[in-house]
Order: sequence, then structure tokens, then C-alpha cells
Amino acid sequence: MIKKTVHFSFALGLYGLLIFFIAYSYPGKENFDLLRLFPARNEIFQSWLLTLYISLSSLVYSMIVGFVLYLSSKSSLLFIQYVGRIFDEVVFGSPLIVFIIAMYYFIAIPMGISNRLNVGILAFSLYMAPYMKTLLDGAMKSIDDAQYQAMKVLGFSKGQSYRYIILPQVIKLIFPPLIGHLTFIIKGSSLLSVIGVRELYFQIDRIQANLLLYVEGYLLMFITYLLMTIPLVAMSRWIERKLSL
Amino acid sequence: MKIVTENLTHIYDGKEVIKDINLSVEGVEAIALIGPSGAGKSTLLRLLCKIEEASVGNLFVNDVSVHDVEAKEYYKKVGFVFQSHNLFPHLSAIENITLVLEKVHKYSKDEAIKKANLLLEQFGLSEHSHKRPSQLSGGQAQRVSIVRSLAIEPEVLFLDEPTSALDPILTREVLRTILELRNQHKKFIIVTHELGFAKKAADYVIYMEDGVVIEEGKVDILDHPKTNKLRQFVEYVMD
Ligand SMILES: Nc1ncnc2c1ncn2[C@@H]1O[C@H](COP(=O)(O)OP(=O)(O)O)[C@@H](O)[C@H]1O
Ligand SMILES: [Mg+2]
Repeated sequence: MIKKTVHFSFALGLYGLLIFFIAYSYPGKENFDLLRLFPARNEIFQSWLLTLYISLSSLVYSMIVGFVLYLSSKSSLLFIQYVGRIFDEVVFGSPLIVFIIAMYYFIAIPMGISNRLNVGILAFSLYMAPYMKTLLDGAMKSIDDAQYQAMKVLGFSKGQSYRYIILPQVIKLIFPPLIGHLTFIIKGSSLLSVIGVRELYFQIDRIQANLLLYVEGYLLMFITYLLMTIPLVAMSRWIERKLSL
Repeated sequence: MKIVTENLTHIYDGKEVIKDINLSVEGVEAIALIGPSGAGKSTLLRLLCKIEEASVGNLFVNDVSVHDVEAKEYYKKVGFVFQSHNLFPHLSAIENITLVLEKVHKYSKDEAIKKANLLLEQFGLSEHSHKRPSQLSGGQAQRVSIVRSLAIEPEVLFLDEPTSALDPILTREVLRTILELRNQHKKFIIVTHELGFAKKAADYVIYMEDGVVIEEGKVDILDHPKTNKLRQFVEYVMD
């Protein structure tokens, strides 16, 4: 146990050194002052909350759309299967930033929809949906035929089978990768800045440009994003341990 | 137990794997279904248990038409034990049993736990009741899954080579459990390759080959086969 702590401290120390070296060799280091961003704290905090809001909504919506995609892949109608599969392929093959821009400027705007935030969340949710579908698909496949036969001969109804046997296993399986997807969503939400959503990246970027505090601004971005992602990852590890008893 | 089949035929991919079987067995308690692999034993069992619908013909278990009965009703009356245990992996041994009792058979929680505990104790599994399937040996898991099937007090229990996935030592403990069923006069049909065990556990034997019933009768046909095919099979297996 002690050994582990020592190793961890050394690793942290290494990164500390690296940061020190970068700071030391940076030409404008005399003027470095993170506190000069302090007056903008309210705007930054608001945008931090907005990023959280975007991320959590996108998580929920992408799970819903992902579930629909999953159902479409199980449809008895081949047409429906293809509709889902083509969507999957388009998403898997295109960069998020292109997807967001195309959704906003070429689909939403011509349709007269101009709420950047909602379009952004919608685009992002659609983009994440095939990943959610893949996750669900993998988890469902882990329940083998033998279990389905057992459910049948023990007399469970379909609803009971899902509620008491399938879902508990699937939820346990998808939880850890789901947190992985959520951290991806949090990071990816910064791309909504390209359509002018005032989320964390957009806001800090504007402030640092106004105040000419680029180093401080980018450092603050690192810190504020890590403040969301690191606790999430830690939490998921913890829950994962709890679940897999 | 009463088992009747009329012109029972089943086809997989254009191939007849059950060929016009007519059985009429009554007043027996335990049937051993034997024969070389590929004979159609598992298929016959799956048909009797309504896991699959027969292509042609009728079949009756205790005068219930397997074709006509609703699955939900039928599975209150019969149980099935598979080659490998297929307990639900996210539930403990006892939860595997109580879930069925509570949700399908509408026991109260207390009744279900009481009954499960009683059965687990009866079959020497009490100490494992709170373990997950992954923490049980293959033999223990299979015994729990037999207990799970018994908990609903089925009229007939179907067992398809319940020991084929186990090593010889674990096999013995599962076979002992099945002999215990016999002592309690539970009614069951078992597919097995263990002829010595079949003689002890069953009072009736059905010998199949290639989708056809070659010979059937009281268990002593294993000692005195009438057909050459059964004689050869017995000699081959006993070797
Ligand atoms: N689900 C299936 N699909 C196609 N063929 C099958 C299936 N199950 C069994 N068979 C075929 O049916 C025949 C009988 O199989 P089975 O009933 O499993 O025999 P046994 O249990 O006596 O070994 C075999 O030839 C097997 O290949
Ligand atoms: Mg078989």
C-alpha cells in the first residue's frame, strides 16, 4: 500500500516538474497571474454550469436515440434496419465538428430554427447515439441463449424477464463504459462553440482574448474540465467495484 | 406420469430428426432416455417441454396437449434442467430460486425464502445459498439449478444430460441429487449416458437411434435387451 503511494507521488512529481519546466521557459512568465481572471468568475461559472447541462442532457438524449437505434437494428423490417445502419455509418465516419456545423447551418437555420443551444444539444445527442447503441448491443449480447431458454422454461413473462433478469445485468455492464462516454461528451461539448453556444470553452476563450490572458485562460480550461472529468472517472471506478461484488 | 406422442415428427433444415414416434407410457415415475449422440434425444425433450413446437403430430404430457397449452400455464407444471446450469449470473443461489417463486408463482417474499432455504438444506446446499453462480463449482451450480426447477413442484421434470458438462467427481454429486429425486418419487425424464445410473434412477427406458425409438420398456431391458441395436449400445457404453 505504501509502495503504491510512493509510486503515485513520484508520477505526480514528474508532471509537476514538467509543468515547472514549461512555466520557467515561457517568455511571458513575469506577467503570469491566474487571479486576473477573477473578475470574470461569474461568467466562467455560468458557462461551466452550461457545459454540465449540455453534457447531461446530451447523455440522456443520446441514450434515448441510441435505444431507438438499437430497436431499429432488431426490427423485422429490413428497411428500418438500413435506416439505422446508414445513420450509424455516417456518424462513425464524420468528425463531430463537421456534424455540428452541418446540423446548424445547413439543416436548422434553413428550417427557421435558430436556438443554438438546443440545436447543439440535439446534434451532439444524435452524434453520440450510435456509440450508445453499440454499447447497449454489446451488453445485450452478453446475455446468452442459455439464459433466455431458462427465462422461458421458468415461465417468466417478457416484461418480467427484462425487469428482473436482463436489465439488471445490462445496466451493470454498460455503466463503466457509459461514464467513459460521458467524459467524451463533456470534452466534446466544447465543439458547440463553433456554432456560438456560450459553453465553457467559448466563454473562457472570449475572456482570455479580451483580457489578453491566453496562458491563464488555457490553464483554467484544463482545470475546469478536469474538475468535471476526474471525479466522474473516480466515481465510476468506485461504483464499478461496488456493483461487481 | 403419462407421456403420449402420436406420429411425432420434427424437421430441422429439411432433415427429419424425429421420425414418426408413437409413445404411450403410463404409470411410471422416472424415464431414462438413452441413445447415441445425434439420435434426437434432446430434440424429443425440447418438444415435450414446449421449447420448440413439433413439425408434425401430437404430444401429451399427463393428458395436457403440449401443442395447445399456453406456455405460461405449461411452465407452471413442468421444469427443465439443461446440460449446463444456466443460473442467472447476477443473482445468488437462493435469489435464483426465490425470483421464480415470487414473480412467476406469486409466493410472498417470506414464503419464497422459506421454501428455497428448505430445499437448499434438503440437498445439502445451505452453505452456498448466498453465493453467486460464478462462486459455485459446476456441480454445485447444476444442483442449484435442479433445486430451482423443483421449487415450483413440477408434475414432470425434464433433464437433458445434466452432467455432461461436469468432470467425473462433480458428476457423481449431481447424480446423487437425482437419485434423491427418485427416492422422493418425483417424476422425471432424463437423457443420460450413464447406464449404471439409469438402472438405479429410472423405472422405464426409451432407447433412440437416428430419430426413431428402437426399444422401450421396464428398466431391466438394459440387462436383457430384446433388440440387437440396444444390446450393442449397452455393450459399447459399458466397455
Ligand atoms: N437447432 C438445431 N438446428 C438444426 N439441427 C439440429 C438442431 N438441434 C439438433 N439438430 C440436429 O438434430 C439431430 C438430433 O440432435 P439432438 O436431438 O441434439 O440429438 P441427441 O440429443 O440425441 O444427441 C442431430 O443431427 C442434430 O445435428
Ligand atoms: Mg443431446
